[in-house]
Amino acid sequence: MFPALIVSFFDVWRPPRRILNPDLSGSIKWHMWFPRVRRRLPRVRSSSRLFATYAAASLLPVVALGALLLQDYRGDAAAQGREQGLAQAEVIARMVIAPVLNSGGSSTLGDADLSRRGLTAEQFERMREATQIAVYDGSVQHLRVRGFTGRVIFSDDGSTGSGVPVSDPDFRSAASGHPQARVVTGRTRTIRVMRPLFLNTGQSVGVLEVYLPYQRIDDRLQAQLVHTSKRIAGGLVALYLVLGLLAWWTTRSLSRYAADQRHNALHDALTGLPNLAAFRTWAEAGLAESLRDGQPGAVVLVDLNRFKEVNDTLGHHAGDELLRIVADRFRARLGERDILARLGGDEFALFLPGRTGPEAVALLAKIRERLSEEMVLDGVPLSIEASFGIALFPEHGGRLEELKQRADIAMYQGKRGTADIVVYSGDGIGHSHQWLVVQAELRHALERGELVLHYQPKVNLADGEVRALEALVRWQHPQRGLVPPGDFLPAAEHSGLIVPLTEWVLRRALTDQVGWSAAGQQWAVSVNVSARNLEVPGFPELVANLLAETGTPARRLVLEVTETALAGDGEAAARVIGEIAALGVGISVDDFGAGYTSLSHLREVPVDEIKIDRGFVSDVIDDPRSRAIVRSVIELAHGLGSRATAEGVETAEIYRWLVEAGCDEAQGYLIGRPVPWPQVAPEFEVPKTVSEAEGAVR
Amino acid sequence: MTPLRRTIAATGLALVLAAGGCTRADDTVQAGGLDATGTVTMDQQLHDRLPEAVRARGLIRLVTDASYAPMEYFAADGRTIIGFDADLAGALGDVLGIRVEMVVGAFDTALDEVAAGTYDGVLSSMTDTKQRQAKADFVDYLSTGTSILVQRGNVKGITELDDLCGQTVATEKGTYQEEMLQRIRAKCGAAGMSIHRLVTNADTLMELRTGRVAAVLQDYPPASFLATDERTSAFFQLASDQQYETGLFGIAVAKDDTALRDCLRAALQRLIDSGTYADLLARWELSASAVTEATVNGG
Repeated sequence: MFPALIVSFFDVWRPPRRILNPDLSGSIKWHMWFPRVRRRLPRVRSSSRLFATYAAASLLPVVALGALLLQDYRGDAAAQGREQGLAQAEVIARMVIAPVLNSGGSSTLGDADLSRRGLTAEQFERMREATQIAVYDGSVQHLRVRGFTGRVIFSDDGSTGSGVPVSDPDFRSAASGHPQARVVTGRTRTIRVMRPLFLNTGQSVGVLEVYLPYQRIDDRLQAQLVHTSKRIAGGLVALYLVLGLLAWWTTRSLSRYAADQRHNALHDALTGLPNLAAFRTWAEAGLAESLRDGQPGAVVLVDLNRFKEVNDTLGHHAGDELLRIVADRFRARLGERDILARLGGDEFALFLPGRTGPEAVALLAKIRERLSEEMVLDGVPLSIEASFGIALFPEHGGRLEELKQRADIAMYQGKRGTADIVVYSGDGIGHSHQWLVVQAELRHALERGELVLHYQPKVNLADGEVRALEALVRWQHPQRGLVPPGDFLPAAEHSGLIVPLTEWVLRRALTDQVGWSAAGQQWAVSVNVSARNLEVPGFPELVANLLAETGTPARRLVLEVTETALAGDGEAAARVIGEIAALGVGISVDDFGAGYTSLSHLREVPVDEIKIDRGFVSDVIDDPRSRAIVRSVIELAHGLGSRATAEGVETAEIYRWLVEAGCDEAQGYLIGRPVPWPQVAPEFEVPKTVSEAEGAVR
Repeated sequence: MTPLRRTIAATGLALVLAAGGCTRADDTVQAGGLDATGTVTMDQQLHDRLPEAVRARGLIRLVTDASYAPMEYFAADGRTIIGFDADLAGALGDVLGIRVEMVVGAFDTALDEVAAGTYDGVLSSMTDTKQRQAKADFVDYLSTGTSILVQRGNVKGITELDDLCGQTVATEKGTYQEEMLQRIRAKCGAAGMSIHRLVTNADTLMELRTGRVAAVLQDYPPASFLATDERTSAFFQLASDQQYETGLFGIAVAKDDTALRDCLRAALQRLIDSGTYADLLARWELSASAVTEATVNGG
């Protein structure tokens, strides 16, 4: 308890340190169940950088737009000032100057240039009268009427030497009919307008040079400019804010979308759990970390039992719902550091760091308990069970794939057996993952004749005479040499390959039997028959045919059946055995006492022989209970009219005991190891009884 | 086609086109017509028949009162004289191979100036009349009548010449219309008529626009122009569609300058024959006033 507390204290204490750790891959695993937190750290930085880029990029056009608007407005204001000046000058020209020039009758016609024609005294006087008030009160600052040569015909102050030079572009433009206005800055700001002077016939006769006060207009325009600038600036700031808001919103949805995409890539859509890819990545990181820190842990594979049934009977919808419920129930029991993933179908995987084997099993037991609670799907109450296969690290491997494979083996063992939670055990099932290989090779072995039969003699206890030979299959593997049956028979049994194998053995054994019969031996032959053989239709016929082919009397053949085979599908098995027994073939119950047999089977099946399991036989000298059992079985056998045969007889002491106990026959290394039949010794020298032996010694 | 054959074919085609083009140009372009660049072609014989003095000077000076749109008036620059008469002067100059210059002057003194030799002639929408024939010879180039121009709305209800009795009417000094008004006034009796005789046509229109006169009597082309042009139609209208005392406009030439007169007539005939004359009339929407033949003193 105390060490466990320390472990859990460290577990609690460590997360903060990891969060401080800049290695972000660490935090990914830590916050498995808090995806938002897990995603935010790395993403906030990149999305804020994106936002800054957006903000900077949109600032540029906004500022440019502002500059452009201001420049335009400034230009417009200046143009407006000039337009105003032009309009004012036109009024002056049309209403003040032209009437004077038109006055005086036909003398005005003919000569088109005021420079030459000048003004009459009367016209000059009228011009002065017409202009002097405006000049005096400053509505017009200066006014000059000039001929095309530049001569000043009339000026506001009477001077004739002043005025714009003829070479000035404005003057030339006005002389050719195009008015020009320009803002000039002297003591105050003034608009200078140069425009042509027309008679009422439309004929141009000179140039009007007029200076109009601009300061007031300019002041007003400046005020307007400032006002407008403020408005534009305000508008642009608002625009920029809107753009910024849009950019912020866009980057946020983009990063959310990206996060969702990433999440979807790594998570199962149905349950929201991490998927296989995510499990691999995160569990591998977790595994590496645990191994580095010397922490134990477990990789667990879970398979739901009877899930297919739910799917088939209640529909996929119910199946999906079931998976969701299961996922929730799993979650409820898991810690923060644990990783739960759905690998697909009804298969889940767990990565449980920081747990020893017993802790992991305890946790899974709790989960199993929670899982098996009744749930109601589509109104149908049901409870679901699961098989858990556990592989522990570092004991069962340091690579995730290896651990998963071993967890898988353990899980399938659990599915075959009765236990739901199975921890991988290195020896027993170590070969299991080679089964597929073995199965494939065994198929070839049958075809190529790599299998051979060895025979172990079974003797009459009383006189040591060999009564029968038990056929035992051996595999002469081209690479691996002689493979013991334990290495390939389970695989054959598992795959159904046992059926052709048994048939081969049966045929071979009967052939050999013919051989030793010809050599003058009267031995019967025992062949082990799997439960699977009994399930194959026509097996009794096969036996009958083989007997007929080899010309073997039926009584010379004994089929050994395990208790478990009898117990399988009781009635069917009993019926098949009955048919075979009817042929005259002997039936033997193998390994009696090791499996489980309903005694009623013994009542129904005609048994010729009961073979007492070696487990009891080897203990008879030391263990009074074993002795009791063996005696009872002998008694039972005799009571049923069968022979009692002891297996695994390895010492003379046991042999002698068995003789005394009234056992009929014996088999074991003491008597003879399995060998090819020609090497079988026809006689066994019966060990002397204790008294005899003592006597001999004496 | 091989490149060689292509070259031969192209060359052949070019030769055919060139030959055809030359032939057509020789055959069809007569003096007064337009050449390939749109220029009126010159008649060398006519040029040679121009008076020695004119040829030596290199230009023909025609006086005009440029306030009579669309016949002759100032462009927006106040200097260039445009209008049908200006175009006609240019075309005549092209045929004669000499520059024809329009000079601004007062209308009522124009014939005297020509007689005095200041100018070679008058081209100012001057009506060819017997009285004027005493002072000059006329090469007639347009046929038109006189219209009554009134303010838009015609509040005085003037529809015919007799309605002018009892009214104040303006006209340009020295025009055919001045003479017409005097004849009408003679028939008005007690009602009488006040006639403002002004120096330029612009002066008469100014008085009508400002309401100092009830009507202005002027030739149909400028009156129609004023009543339809978008800048003036808001203020003027024709009293009726009637044209009175249809007559001919002529280019006045000094009586002793028959060579120039005949040259101008021949040149005008060339323009009429070639269609250039009709084209120029169409440009100023004066096609209804065309003459079919260039005549001298036809009025």
